[in-house]
Amino acid sequence: MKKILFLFVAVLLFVTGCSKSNESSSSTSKSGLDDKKIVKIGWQNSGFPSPFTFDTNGPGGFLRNSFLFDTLTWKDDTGVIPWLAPSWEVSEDNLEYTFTLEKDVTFHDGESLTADDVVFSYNYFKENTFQWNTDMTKVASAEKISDHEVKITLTEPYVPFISEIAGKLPIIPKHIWSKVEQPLEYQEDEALIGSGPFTLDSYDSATGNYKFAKNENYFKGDVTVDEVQYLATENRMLSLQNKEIDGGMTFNYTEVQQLEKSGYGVLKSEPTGSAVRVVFNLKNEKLSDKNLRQAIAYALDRSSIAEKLTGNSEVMVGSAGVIPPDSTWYKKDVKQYDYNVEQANAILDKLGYEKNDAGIREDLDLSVLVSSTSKEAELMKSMLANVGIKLDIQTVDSATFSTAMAEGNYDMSITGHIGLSGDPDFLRLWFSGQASNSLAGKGVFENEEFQKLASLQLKQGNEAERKATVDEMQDILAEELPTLVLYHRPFYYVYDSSVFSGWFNTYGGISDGIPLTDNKAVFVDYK
Amino acid sequence: MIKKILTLYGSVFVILLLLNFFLPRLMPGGPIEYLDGQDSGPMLTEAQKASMIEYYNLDASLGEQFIDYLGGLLHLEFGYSFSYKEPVTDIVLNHLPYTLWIVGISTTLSLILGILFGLWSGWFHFKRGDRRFMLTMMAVGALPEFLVGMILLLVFAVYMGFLPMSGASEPFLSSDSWWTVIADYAQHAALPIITLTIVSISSTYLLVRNETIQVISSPFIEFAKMKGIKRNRLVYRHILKNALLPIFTLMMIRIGTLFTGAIFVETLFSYPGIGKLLKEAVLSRDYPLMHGLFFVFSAIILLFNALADFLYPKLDPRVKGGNKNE
Repeated sequence: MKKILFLFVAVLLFVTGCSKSNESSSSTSKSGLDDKKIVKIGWQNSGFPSPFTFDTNGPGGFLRNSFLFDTLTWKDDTGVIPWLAPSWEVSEDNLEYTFTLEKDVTFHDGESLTADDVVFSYNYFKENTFQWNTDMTKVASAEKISDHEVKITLTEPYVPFISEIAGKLPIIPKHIWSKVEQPLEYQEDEALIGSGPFTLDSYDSATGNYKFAKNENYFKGDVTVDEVQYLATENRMLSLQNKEIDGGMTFNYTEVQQLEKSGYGVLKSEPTGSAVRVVFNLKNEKLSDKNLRQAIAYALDRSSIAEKLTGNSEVMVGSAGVIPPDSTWYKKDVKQYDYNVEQANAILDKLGYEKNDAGIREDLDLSVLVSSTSKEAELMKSMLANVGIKLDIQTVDSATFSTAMAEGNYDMSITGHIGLSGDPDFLRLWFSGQASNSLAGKGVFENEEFQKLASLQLKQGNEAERKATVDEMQDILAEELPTLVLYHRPFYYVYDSSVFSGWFNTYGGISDGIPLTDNKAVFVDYK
Repeated sequence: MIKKILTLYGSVFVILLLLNFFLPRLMPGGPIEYLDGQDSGPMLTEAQKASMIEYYNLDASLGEQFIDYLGGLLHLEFGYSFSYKEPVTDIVLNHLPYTLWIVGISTTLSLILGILFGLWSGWFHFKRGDRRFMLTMMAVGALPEFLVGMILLLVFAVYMGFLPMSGASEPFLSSDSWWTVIADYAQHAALPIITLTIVSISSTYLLVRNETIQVISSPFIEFAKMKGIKRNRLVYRHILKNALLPIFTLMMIRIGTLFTGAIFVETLFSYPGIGKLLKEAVLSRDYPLMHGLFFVFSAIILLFNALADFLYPKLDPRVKGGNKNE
């Protein structure tokens, strides 16, 4: 028995001893940091980062993939910039895009990247879907003109092509992928060979940690750090304070303020590019009446909802026209619904929903569907009770949520989104039922005028004309209110500026409007 | 005897495997809906969605999928995980060692400590201090894993910064000495292990304490005392030996429950074992991964129960009873 006791003490000593020995080991590795510049960022596991297997649950997978692979165009703080293609020409009918390619680009394995690879990639992705919503049905063909010139022909005019396809679709090496028939199952090291600024040194699928190493021969310019690590920490802000990571994203403004006071750098996403919104079921008998939807809009004090949830008094109340006020596509005098209880009551009375003695409109009980706990729903419940509407909150997990949405088994639902500052074509995708993010697309908005404008803006090469069309679309959305944006939620990137401070906000958001800071261009000295 | 156990547990296992196929599919929504339903996820075009459904064979009828599932079972292959896009067997094998490591150590620790505490507490059961001790142990035993874990996490990792908050190892620790590597793993596993130990210690403790009190009142202990045998020898040799039998059964059952407890603990400490994996698989409706994990969980739990059934009569011939000809 004494032996067992001894063993137990030994284990205890071992565990306590470990913490000490580890401190010394981390200090030795810190002295090693002096010659190597390493940036550690907190983000959850995003899957094996090949173009076919990255995780599409959130933008992490696409961003990890973009570190390894390049696209013809890219975006930085000024907007769309040339990347693999230094220049391009568009035919007058907006159907043909001719790209000139950079000459001395090599893949990580030393093979050079030529027009063949671009043509191959566009054809390969027509067969095998790229995971980050890229509508390849718009591409008719890709042809090689010379070793460094490619012509891409579209099936119909698609003005957002430069950012929404050319800026998203990774160019993959023909010599590797031409042999691959099941790209989803191809998870060899070769599947990660691209031309990007980093190579993947290691990825641990169990823990979800990534280590990217600098590509020494990057065509676009010097890569300014030696290593970028993505660590799947449970609580980013705590890990940041514990020095486990050097930067991480959060929505919590109170935390942001504390950390800013203690000397951390903070970058707020601008434009916000995101929204938390109520989706109305337009097939619902009562909610199909736009007057009721408007009454609900008047009854909700959305600035107070936003203030309570973000912890920040400087809030951006949701625009009724969906596009956030800080986007260049926003229409300035679009109709808005300020908090106005009298007006809400007046509309509801007029609609014939009468209050009983207790002040409750008995004929009007609605429910709101939320996935995971939603404080917005709680606040809405008390605000709607003020005008006599009884709101029932239904909480379900996300798969159940989207099934209910798809089947139309809901009155209202609350969802969060990003991508609102990118190309305004998202309005068409959201409300036409063509794209199927249930949070966005399933509630088809059957408004002929809107659908007409939505297809028109796709063809308008002249930006001013397109803006006018998008303005009209916002007017319709604001009047009809198929959805009510509660607020535009800011993202904060909090970082240790002594480690790396070159972060910037991408104009309109990375790719299709991702409002995060981990744009690969941050680490490349290309100007 | 063996035949009986095999038929009983074999049929339970088969029923579990059948449930394993149908239960996940009875939940609302499928893997595509999960992807669809993500905040800030992608917007899948209809073409993209169709290609996914085709690839994962989700358009096949339930019957066809069931036949595929049965065929896979024979080869212990569960197919490709929807969310990880890797073969399920590989994923499970990647994560399993982490769980075995924390569950194994905490089972051993909780047994040793539970037995020690129980023995001495039983020995001193007439003193007032023991009553308080017992009440404390009962209270601790009633706490759920995640609460204990949360408190430990706050105290040791957040405020004292003494132990790491999450993960199984320092990411990309490059060290030449494997001692540092082991120390690092031990340090990361410390909190999950302590949590699992704390929550499971009290059942062993209470059982051993009861047994001890019973054994103490037996005449042979009285006799041993009179012979003047030393206290330690009395407790460890005479009492422990006689109290060990029921502990054995308890231990086998505990192992099963510890595996399920690991689901909460692993999630809390984001420890990459199969418990955390199971939670993710259920939320993302990753059918193949769920099949693989439920298979492992049911196999482990049934195996230990069967082992207890099989070994117990060998340890205690009295329970053989009934059939006198045997």
